[in-house]
Amino acid sequence: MQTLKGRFFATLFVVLSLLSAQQVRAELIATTGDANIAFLTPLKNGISELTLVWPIDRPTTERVAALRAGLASVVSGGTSSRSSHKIAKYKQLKGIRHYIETSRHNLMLTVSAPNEVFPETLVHLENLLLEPEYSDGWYARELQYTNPIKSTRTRRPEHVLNEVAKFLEYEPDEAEAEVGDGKFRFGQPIQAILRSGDEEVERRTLRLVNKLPRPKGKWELPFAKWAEALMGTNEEAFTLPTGVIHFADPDSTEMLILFVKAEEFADEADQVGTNVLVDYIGANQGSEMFRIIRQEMRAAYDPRSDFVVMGKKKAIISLSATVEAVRWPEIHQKIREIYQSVRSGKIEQEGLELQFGQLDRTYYRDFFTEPAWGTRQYLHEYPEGADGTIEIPLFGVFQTLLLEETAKNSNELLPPLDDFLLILIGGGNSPSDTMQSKGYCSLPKSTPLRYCLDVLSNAESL
Amino acid sequence: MRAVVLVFSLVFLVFAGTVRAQSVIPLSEKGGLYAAYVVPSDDFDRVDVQLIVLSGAYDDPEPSGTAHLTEHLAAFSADATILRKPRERDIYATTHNVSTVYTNSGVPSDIEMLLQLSRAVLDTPSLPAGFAESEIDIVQRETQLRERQSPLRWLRRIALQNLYGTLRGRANNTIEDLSKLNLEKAYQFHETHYAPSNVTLIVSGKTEPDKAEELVARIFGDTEPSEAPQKPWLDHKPDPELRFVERIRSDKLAHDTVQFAKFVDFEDRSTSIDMQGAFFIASDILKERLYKALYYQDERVFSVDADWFLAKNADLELTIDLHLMPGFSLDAAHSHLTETLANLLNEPITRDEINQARQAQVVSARNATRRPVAFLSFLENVASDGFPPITPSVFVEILNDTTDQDVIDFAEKVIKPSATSVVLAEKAE
Repeated sequence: MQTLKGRFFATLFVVLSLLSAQQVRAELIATTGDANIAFLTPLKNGISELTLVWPIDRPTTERVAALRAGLASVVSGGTSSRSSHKIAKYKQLKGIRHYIETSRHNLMLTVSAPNEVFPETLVHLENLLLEPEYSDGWYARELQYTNPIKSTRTRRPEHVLNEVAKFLEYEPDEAEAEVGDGKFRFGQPIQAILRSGDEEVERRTLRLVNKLPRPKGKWELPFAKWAEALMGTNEEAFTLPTGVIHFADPDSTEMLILFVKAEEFADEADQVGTNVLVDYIGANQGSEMFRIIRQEMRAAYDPRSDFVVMGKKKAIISLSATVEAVRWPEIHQKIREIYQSVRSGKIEQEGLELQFGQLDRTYYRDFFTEPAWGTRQYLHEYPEGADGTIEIPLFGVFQTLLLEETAKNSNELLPPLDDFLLILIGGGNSPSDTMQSKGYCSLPKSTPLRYCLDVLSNAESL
Repeated sequence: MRAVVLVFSLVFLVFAGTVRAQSVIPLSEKGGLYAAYVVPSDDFDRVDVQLIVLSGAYDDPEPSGTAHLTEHLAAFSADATILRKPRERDIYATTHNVSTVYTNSGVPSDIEMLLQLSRAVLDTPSLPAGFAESEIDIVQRETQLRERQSPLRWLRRIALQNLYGTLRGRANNTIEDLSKLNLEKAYQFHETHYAPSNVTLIVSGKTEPDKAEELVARIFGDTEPSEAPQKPWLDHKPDPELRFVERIRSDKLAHDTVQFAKFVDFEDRSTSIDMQGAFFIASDILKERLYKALYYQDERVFSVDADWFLAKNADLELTIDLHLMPGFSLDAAHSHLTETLANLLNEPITRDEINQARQAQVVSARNATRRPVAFLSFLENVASDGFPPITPSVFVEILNDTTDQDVIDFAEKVIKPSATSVVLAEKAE
């Protein structure tokens, strides 16, 4: 972490600058130093990709939403020479795609396109980044897209986990925090990661990165505020409260039961080992939850587990099922029993091997065919960029993991279920007093999950 | 500027390859199947067998959802019959509007087992006592889940019920009919619609055509041709003068929404097989013009999505979902949409526009070859109508053979006034 702090001190600036051409006051997101550039193994399906990474100065929900919407507006809202529609048409005709992602400290833009058009894709990207002209209305719409979907409406496990992930990564802004006007420019990134294998593309990437503007003006934002965030001195712990969050919908015939925990691992072997065990419990049709809850109890269509990697040796673990409302206490208890059984070592080796094979294939497929996926793994390992030999230990675990050991250590690898947070969304009875003993929050209608996550967290910290 | 290079080798279980063109080889030794094809491809180290039953949700009798229940029963029965250890693989079966597709995938050495799994789908489902009955509960859970997760299914259902004036065929009554699902209807559906003469088989991936042909002949050779089921929904057409508007209010919605549906009858055509090129190019042009007017030039619209369905008999159904930004009223948005559609061809379609649309389709087809799932979806598309599957490379030839006049004629027909149904849905907190 010391290296990271030092580098941020030396190279990062987020300043306000005047754009002389349009006399528009826009916030320039850029570094004064040199971008760290990495060339990764190319994808294997004829696609090239480039990811540019900028720092997030203030990891708050409002700031991150503004930055995302700003970057989305820059790459889609129009330039001095092209309308938004022309840009969309050009991308369609060339097969170009943009992906915008954020982690706690990084804002990432990935551009992918077929190999044969990637050189001109970089020229196009340069034009988007250097000459953006988007309207307030366009930005307002992009800002709407960044609003997390209220998971109590859709009741999809992935939407619930998305709200949970945002809670873990970002805090709400302080009331007095500055709210920008949505005018952004994106200049020199802190990192650029290329997967192409074409030397001409590599040259063009270096040229593009060099052309991106650096801050010229004085350092105008209050230093301490954002530097503190950048250096991680105010880093939030990667933890969720325990207890129960309950959104009661008396009109619903269904109930979503979702257990979730934020987990940190001692090393990558523990991470993959836990991932395989969680998959054994609930991923795919070969899982215990599918076998018991769907096939034996006939209680849910899609009982499942999720293992969402959030960073180096960090993941969100979740088990969930949507069941008939009247049966939810029974199924809740069964999920607990399944988990406890696997945690206590009752594991069929053949099934574990099948899950491991599936996870291995998924990693391989995503690394070589899915734009942004491999870069994300690289950034988990090298958040401040690499210098010299690059190794991603997570990938190496697939050659060394001993599944017998994993099964034997299941009690250590899987955290106790009592440490999980339980989220209930839908109809049926309220949770019993016993279930509420570790904390309870009834979520009001049209309210984000964060409300209850804060209530339970604050109660724990009292 | 520092540059570093990542050089690491990964030893995983499978290996990917490059993108190439594929040919479609019809098989003659196919038993009683409607059609069977091999599409060899070395792009990925896998083989996929798609068994396409040429009937789907549109063929539902009363109750709606019967085709879906049948899909569940046949999939589990096939798995249990062949594998006896269902935990080893995922069943991948989907009930679409006009077809039900069973996809069995594996490494090339699995091909015989994959074909046997596909063949077993055609046998009358055989499941343990009580299991089949309780699968109704699972279908109910799944339907409720999807309904909650995708409110647009519900809005579109209302629009189509009003458009066709029925709860069957191209419209359905899925949620209300859930409690009426029963095994008797499902087995009856299987007997009628899972007849070999109503089934197309596609074997694609890393396989020798001769080997695939020999295996298909052996495994499907005992199937007998039979009468293909009737498709009454193909004759069901709305009154061309219909202009139905319904207003609703719901807390399921994230935005105020205009749900639009239109039926276009190409009355001088009896099949859509020779209209595919014009359909894809013209719909792309119209969609582009629509999106330009409603999204790129109008920031009051949050998002717009148009869905086009060209039936095998050349009936066209167009649905448009318009989600509104706060402050844009439903009535104003409805008027705006109606006016935009009416004026969509005020400017004549140009040759450049046609070429661009053609190019966009070519790019999209090439992208389909980069991921196995996208490639399978591409093959299945027109094959679900009982036509030969079209590979991306064959599709490019079709696009190039389509004349500009074909495209213009198609687009003009779509824009002419015909039956429409609109739901104006207000978001409630």
